Amino acid sequence: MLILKVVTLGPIHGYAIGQRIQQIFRDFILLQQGSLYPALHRLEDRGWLKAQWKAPETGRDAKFYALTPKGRKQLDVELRNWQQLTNAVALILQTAE
Amino acid sequence: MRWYQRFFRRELTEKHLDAELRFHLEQQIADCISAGMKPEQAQRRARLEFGGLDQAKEECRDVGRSNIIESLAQDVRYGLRTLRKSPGFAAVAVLTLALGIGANTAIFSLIDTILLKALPVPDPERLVSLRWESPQAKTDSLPYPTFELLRNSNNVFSGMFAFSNVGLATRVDGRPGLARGQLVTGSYFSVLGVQAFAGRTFTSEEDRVPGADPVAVISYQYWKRQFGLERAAVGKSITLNGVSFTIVGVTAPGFDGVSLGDRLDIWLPMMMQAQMMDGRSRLEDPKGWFFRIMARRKPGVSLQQAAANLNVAYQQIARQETGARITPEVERELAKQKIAPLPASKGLSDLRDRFATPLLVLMALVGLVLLVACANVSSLLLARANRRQREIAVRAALGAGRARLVRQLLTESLLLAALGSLVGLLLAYYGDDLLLKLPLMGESPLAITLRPNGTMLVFTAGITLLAAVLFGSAPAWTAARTDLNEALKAGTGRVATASGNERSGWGMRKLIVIGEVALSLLLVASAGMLVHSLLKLRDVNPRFNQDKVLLVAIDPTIVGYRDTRLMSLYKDLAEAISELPGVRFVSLSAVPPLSRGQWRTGMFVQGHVPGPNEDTTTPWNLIGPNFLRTLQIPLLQGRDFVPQDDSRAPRVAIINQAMAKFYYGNDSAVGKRLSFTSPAGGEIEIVGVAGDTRYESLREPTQHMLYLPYLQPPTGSGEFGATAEIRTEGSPESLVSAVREAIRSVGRDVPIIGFRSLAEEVNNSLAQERMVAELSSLFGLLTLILAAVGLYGVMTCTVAGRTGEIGIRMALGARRSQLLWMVLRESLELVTIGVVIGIPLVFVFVRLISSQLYGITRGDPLTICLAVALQSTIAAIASYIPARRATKGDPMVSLRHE
Repeated sequence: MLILKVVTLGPIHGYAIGQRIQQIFRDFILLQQGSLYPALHRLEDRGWLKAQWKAPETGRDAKFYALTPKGRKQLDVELRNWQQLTNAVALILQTAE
Repeated sequence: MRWYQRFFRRELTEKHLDAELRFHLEQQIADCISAGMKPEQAQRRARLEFGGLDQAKEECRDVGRSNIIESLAQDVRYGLRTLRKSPGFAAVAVLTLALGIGANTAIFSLIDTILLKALPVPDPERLVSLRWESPQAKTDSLPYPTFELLRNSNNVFSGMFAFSNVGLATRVDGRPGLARGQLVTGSYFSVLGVQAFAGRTFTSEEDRVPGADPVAVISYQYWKRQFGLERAAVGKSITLNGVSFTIVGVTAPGFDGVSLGDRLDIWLPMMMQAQMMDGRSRLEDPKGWFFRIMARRKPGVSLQQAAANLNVAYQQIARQETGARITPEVERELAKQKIAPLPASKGLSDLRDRFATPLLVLMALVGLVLLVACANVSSLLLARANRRQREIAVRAALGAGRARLVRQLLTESLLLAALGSLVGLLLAYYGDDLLLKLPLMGESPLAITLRPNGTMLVFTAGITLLAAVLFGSAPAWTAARTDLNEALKAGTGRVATASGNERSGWGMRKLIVIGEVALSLLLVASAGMLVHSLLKLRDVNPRFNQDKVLLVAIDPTIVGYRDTRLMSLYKDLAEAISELPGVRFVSLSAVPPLSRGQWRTGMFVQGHVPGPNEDTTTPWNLIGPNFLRTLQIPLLQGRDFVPQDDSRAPRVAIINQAMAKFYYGNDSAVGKRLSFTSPAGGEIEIVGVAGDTRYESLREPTQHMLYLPYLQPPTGSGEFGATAEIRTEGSPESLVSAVREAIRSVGRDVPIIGFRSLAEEVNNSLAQERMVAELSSLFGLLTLILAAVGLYGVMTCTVAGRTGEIGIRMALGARRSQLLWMVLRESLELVTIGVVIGIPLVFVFVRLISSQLYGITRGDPLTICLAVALQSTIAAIASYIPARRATKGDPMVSLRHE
């Protein structure tokens, strides 16, 4: 979900995604950068992301990921689920007090 | 990227993956450096943050690898590797399966060829053959005028043709020979849709003037045999039954007539009928019931429509023929007659009727063999699964999913089955060859060709798959339930008898053994009953004396002998042979004893009013004087035929006892009169009553039989080939050359069709029963061995698991025989359960195969007892060996085994 959210901003390559997520998390969690790629490939396999090789600003060829319509829909679903879950958890925490 | 792209472009994917990850690292290093780190430091940092590079790669590769083909290929590679590691196991499993699959394929290819395969012509399903039916009789042969009228008056068929077989004496370049010929109307090839391979086929041109077109079409096989596929054969002249013909064409290779097992060599125009037969034209004879008729339905015309249309046409034809003599009775009779179209997509064949049931019975039997073979392989796999438990557990621990493991095991099963079916196909190929060489039809092997074809391969693939599922699912299921911890704890060499999954594997194996015992009992008992009925049939008294009788089949009619010339030839032949030394009696008959293909005729018996549904036809035969004496058939009343019973003398007949009893009860039949229904026959006086014998087969119930002297043939049957029966003093075979000389001396050109002893003929009449009995015995033996091997395997494992227990018991003072009995009892329990399940199955199965049995109606206690005894003995031996091995050892060794 996080990756999908990051990718909504537009075509972006793996390293940048990693950096972006790291940035968002700041130092809450230390993410193993290596585990990012299997996740990306899995999303691509499911058709939620599409990938393209092109040159970034720095000049070397890199694989750029972009969100597909299917991926966008999935993101919506997941966001809604997340919202529900957090609402539910919040509700429980409040009533339990 | 699609999975197939990924599959085929694995290298490219690999490169992309590499590039992508390298790019990441480089970027990170660059970032670190720009943040002020030293290059080495930056590299270290980047690596650290990234984690395991190869691990990431592997995980990326795994994404989408759940596709079937790639993992299947992997499974197959792995499966082959494991099989190679245990060649003994693989060989036994593959061989077992090969026997099962091979037997099935062999029998199936016979079924396919004889029962299923359509004629090699376009749209065979639109072909029909015509049959005339009345409540009393039916026939597939019709008169030629009826054919012409039907052809001209129907509007449901796009074409019709008539044909009639004719024996041919050939002369090619001066060399004499015999060939199977068929007279066909000009439309034969065009309606069937058979093309000429070389030259041309017949056209309607050849249908016009009788005797005008001496042209012949030959079959590809005949072309090969006689002319060595020489192109120049077309246009060549060939002498057939004394008439010179020109060969105008050769048919396509696959086509050898519309009757399976009756391969034709030469086709001739129907208009040559008189010249090829006895000089008399039957083409205008409304009573000449000689011609078979086939037709092709127009597209969209159903069988019912065709039947309705034909019937209307036939009723008109029949009324025209009867003419003015139509009385209400005749009208009623006519209304009951009809001509029915029968589906003929597979051609005509009495092979089919005769072999359908035996083949289906054999198919059921080989199906059981395959089941037992599967059970055995399954049992083997289970045993192996036990030994492989650790390996499987390790693979599970390394992250293989349960489904993945099951798939791997099933793939291995499939691999075994595939290897088995390859070997099985080879076995089937040679097995069929052997089968066809058996003299199934009596005198000659089946004239059919079996080629591996699509249907057969699909069938084999089908049963292979079925087999793999059958024998592979039990081990896979057991493996899937493997408890990881237990299996890993169990250690390498030891068999952990206590662990749960182990026991479930064994429970399964025991169930399998019980099933095997039940099935093999079923097979052995069935085979035993088939053999038993064969023995009973052999003991059937044909009620003539089959010893020391030589049979010679001749057919002078195909070289033009007819009427008085034929009669005097037969008379001279009989005399010449009787003068040979070593010959006691000689006789002639139109139909030899115990040959299939009897003559029947409609008959009026004076003073007898037939019931409404009574069959008024009677089997009959033309015989010479001495026939009864030669075969030692008792003459019960009256007299035998004498040479004076010829065409000038009053017509006489001898009937058998059954017929005399049926028509005359306790009255004497001698002096009574009867006549043939066909108007040509006059009154015939019965002069004698002979004992009943078996006429067509040993199985048949007692039949009626009417004998007429061959010198007084009823009109319409004047020309017949004959068989001479010769009672000899010594062995019949020793007289063959002398008899041949005698025949040559009387008629140089008389074609001799073959010599046989009567005992051989009787034996041949059981060829089919013998084939079924032999094959089923073979299958029975096979399953018995398989079941024994299965039992042996299970007992070996059980005993191995109980070595410790046995050691303790021995140490505590148990006697060896007690222990032996303890182990044996376990296996006998399995066998007993198997037998108890098997016996009811036998009774059910007996009902299915009852048509193949003789004198055994509802199970055969003796055979079943024998089968049970055999089964138990084999089982006892199979379990005695491991039991003895276990108890023979030193108790200390047994104990240390733990």
